[in-house]
Amino acid sequence: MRARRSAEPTVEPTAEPTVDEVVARPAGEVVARGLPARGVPAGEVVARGVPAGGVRARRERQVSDRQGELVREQEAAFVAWIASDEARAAARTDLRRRGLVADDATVDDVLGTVALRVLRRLRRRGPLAVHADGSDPVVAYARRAVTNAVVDLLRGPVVTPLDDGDQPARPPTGATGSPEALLDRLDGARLIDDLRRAVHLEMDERAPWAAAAALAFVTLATEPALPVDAAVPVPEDGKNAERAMWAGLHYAGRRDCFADREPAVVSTHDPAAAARLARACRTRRSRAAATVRRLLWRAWDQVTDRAGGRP
Amino acid sequence: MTGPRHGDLVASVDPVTNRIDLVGPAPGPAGVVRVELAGGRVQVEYDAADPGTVTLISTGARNGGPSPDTARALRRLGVASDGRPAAATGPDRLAGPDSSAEAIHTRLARFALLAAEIEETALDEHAEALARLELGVIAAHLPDDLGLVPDAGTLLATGARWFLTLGRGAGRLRRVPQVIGLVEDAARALRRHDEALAAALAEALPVTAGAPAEPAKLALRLSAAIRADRLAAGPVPGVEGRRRLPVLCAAGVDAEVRRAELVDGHVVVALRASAAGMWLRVHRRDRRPVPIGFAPFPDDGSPARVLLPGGVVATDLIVDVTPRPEEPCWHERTHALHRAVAAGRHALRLQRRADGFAAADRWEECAWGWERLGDRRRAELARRHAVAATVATDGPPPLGAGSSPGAASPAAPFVFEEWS
Repeated sequence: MRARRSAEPTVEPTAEPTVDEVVARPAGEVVARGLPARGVPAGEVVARGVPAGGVRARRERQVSDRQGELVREQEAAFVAWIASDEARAAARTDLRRRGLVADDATVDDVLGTVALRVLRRLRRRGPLAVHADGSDPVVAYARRAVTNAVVDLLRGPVVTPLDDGDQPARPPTGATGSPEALLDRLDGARLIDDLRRAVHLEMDERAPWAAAAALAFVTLATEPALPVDAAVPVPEDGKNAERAMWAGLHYAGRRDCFADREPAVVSTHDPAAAARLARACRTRRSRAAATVRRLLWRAWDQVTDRAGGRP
Repeated sequence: MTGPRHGDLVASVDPVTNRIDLVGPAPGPAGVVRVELAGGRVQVEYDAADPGTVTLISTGARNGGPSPDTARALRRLGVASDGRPAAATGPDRLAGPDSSAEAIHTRLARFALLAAEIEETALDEHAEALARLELGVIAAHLPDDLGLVPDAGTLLATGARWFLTLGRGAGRLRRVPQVIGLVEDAARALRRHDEALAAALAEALPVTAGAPAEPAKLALRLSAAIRADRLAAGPVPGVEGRRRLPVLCAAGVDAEVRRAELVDGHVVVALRASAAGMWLRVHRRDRRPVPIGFAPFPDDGSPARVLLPGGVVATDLIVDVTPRPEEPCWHERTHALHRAVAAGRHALRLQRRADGFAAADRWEECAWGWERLGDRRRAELARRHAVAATVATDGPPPLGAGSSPGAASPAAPFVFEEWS
């Protein structure tokens, strides 16, 4: 870690292990513990649509569970590798072979890029195929990702990937726990920075506003007294979590979720039209908030998965 | 341009994977373009500004020796996995009589340049359809046993579907001789892979005999759609403010920072123009920077605001503007490197379109970028390109691949670029 200047006020340092310490834990510890259903906070009931039943459904669930377990194993193996000296050596080799300076900052940027890409790949498209010769596919894949990241430095910014196949293979988790439930955990958690990183990792590039809202939510949920923008809408009887969610949507540019609060609309002479608009707006707000919550829970899952069940 | 140079590659073993790489000269100021062969096991990188130069071949071979398909691909490239020249291969049925390593490198470099062009520029639907079709045609003129990724059949089918979806929009393309030649080539090559699609593509062409070609500038304004070009000039300090902040602009961001400051616990950044689709991101400095907040730039030109956690100070922050907030946050040096490369790529694009003076400006920008990074070799090379670009402005550009995909020089303009 880069040392912070001690003379300047900084964010409260955490007493918890750093990410680097966490990811360096043996993979076995992460995969061995019994995880609750992914994304479902303890004690919450989640509507899952039609209840699954029958042999076929059971088999599908087993396959899905095994896939999920494999993904977690491979994630653990990857985070251990990316934090290793071997990964840094690989990045240095690739940079030098292309006549680039292999200083710490550039190596960090290359490995940061690789970490995001590989973890997103695993979470969206499932586990890597195991090699026929039994060799570890994770390190081989990660090594190649390092080369790609270095080559990408020597290319222009990509606008349209030739092969746009990186679509989510996994349906979004059904977890939509209440914001209060998440707040309880945030209050008790000190891995806020890890949660922020996980939000970035889990973000859907087709809806970046959700990540923006989630990050603002995390900030306000942990520090409710922060002064917010004067234009941030405030729910009349909202609890802390709801205020944080509204503020998050506002900072994420989702002003369309609050059109019913515009003075021009509130004072309209057509009460029926105003009521229709308000209803539409509430629906939009509710859907947007549900999207943000799903993202936050996925990120939360990831942090707690990595941290071996803490907090 | 001289022919591809691959004779001075040096074998080097990756200490992590024991993979053997053949390393050539370091790439120039506009970076590299790359192709994947042998089903993805072999990667070949060419210098983007000098596509005759092979800068690296990653063989995928380990100490035990290459797999058979890797060995075949390497033989085609004229090298063995230890970097020594390989025995020449015979003529190929598909590639025609000229299947020498030199000719294959020439086509591969052109393929890699066009693939990069498709990925790195925002083309309109007509340009994209033509570019993808041309990519397929170039691929079809390469030997099958190279194991190109994606393969020619896939590329041709994708290009054909793009072209066919233009529907009526393709009408204005149909009167351009180079486009007709390209579509005919593609339909011919596609017959091997998908007869029905090839027939549909061939039928998409009207009777062309005697059809007058429209004046080029009126017929197509395709490359006007190339947008992701003008580059931000590096970290721009905010103007007067309570706490000014440096803002990093990602390569390809065409935006000038009007205001960037820390006000009442918020990072506030305003751009002068072109804010649509741009995102303000704020990270806290760390070995792995921590994302603090993202905010879109509103369409009405008002500033974007990010709420900060308590206790964060300006020097802790990395503030950047990017169209892709999902990408990781980079240090300033990495941003600068990427911008220098992007300026070189833009210069190459302008050069292919015979806009020598604009290209020279971009080369100068590229040179300045490398100079700031302390890379004098690349800075000097970029300056030489700038001089060459202004000298070579007169006269039409060389013919592209539309008429002869196998024979075109790698640096010649592509069909979609020839009509602007």
